[in-house]
Amino acid sequence: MCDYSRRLVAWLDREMQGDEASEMERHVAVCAECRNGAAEFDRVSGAFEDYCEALARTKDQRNGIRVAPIFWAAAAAIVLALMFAHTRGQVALPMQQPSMTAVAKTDSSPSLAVKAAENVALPSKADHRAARRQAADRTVEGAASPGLCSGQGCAPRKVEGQSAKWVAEELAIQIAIPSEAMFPPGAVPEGVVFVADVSIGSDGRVEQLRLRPRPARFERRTDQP
Amino acid sequence: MSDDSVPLALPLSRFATDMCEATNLYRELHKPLRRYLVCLGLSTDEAQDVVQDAFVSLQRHLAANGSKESIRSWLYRVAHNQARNRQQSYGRRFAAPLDAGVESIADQETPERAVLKKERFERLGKAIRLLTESERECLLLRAGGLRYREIGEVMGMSTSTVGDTVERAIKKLAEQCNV
Repeated sequence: MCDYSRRLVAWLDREMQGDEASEMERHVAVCAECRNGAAEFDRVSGAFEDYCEALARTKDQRNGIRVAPIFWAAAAAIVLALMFAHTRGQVALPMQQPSMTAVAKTDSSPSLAVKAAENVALPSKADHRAARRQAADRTVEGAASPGLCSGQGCAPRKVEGQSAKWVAEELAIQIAIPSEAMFPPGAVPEGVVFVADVSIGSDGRVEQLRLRPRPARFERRTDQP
Repeated sequence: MSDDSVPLALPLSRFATDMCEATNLYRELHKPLRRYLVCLGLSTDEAQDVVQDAFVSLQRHLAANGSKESIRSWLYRVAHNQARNRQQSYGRRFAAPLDAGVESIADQETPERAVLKKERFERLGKAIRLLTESERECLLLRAGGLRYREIGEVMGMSTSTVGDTVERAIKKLAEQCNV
């Protein structure tokens, strides 16, 4: 057995440095055993990656099969509701409002525009899921609010009182930033939340930034008299 | 937009750089990371949750001025540890790593190709089950495009140990199945 065969996989993975790699390359060119070994290891590596890819795809498909009936049932219910409202002359939703499908996509979109620097701690695991749901809700609200870009559900548009370049022209997500990262301790009074609209250029430069303070929302307790 | 905007005392260049870095990492890594977690034995939903949590941790890490060196292996390590914690907590809920139904893998092909592919995957599946846990995980991370140094950082091994482990695992697979 050739001594060089012990290092074939590292060579195939380009983990060898200059001289060592050159030496290995020269050896493989003249050694049939190592050449065959390298081809076999390369084939095995490819097969393993195919296996992983197929496994991930299979699990995705299984997941999709489970979700599909629920999705189609929900879609059918919405269509029926709209048809019913239309026949009665009472269309419930304006057509320019983003659909729930568009809203659902916003949480996984990469960011170039950032919204919501809030006077809160970063979300925990449970908060994170809740935040995704809240982000979807805010997106629906944002469709009627000219100051907020609401991700994919919000087409690039001119905002009232602003220049056109202020609005991000790429996909957006909402990211919560702890106030400690932006302000000195104690600078932000309790009960105040800041909404930040950040426009970031393709080269990573911040083009514009606005902060708007607003009172935190407090939910009404239902058990109060 | 109202006129009550306030001046911002934030090093904006650092903030923007961090944001772009996190965004680029998400674009580059969220799919391979999810595939790695699924192959570790998590369901797709669980894998998606772990990926989200890992990127939230990344954001915290960058906001806290954490080190940006080896950020890729840092992200994989966070996801790896979270996946392991979930598996230890809910062991029965998850499949064994790389334990797939081969029939379902091959069912999208023409009959002849499906049979060949099924046989190939069956042989490979049996061979994979003979690998040790660290060998399987090293191969999975390698399939995700990580260098040996990065795999070592994720797994807590030296680079040379990773090289030996990968070499041994590939040779075992080659001996067990003629693919």
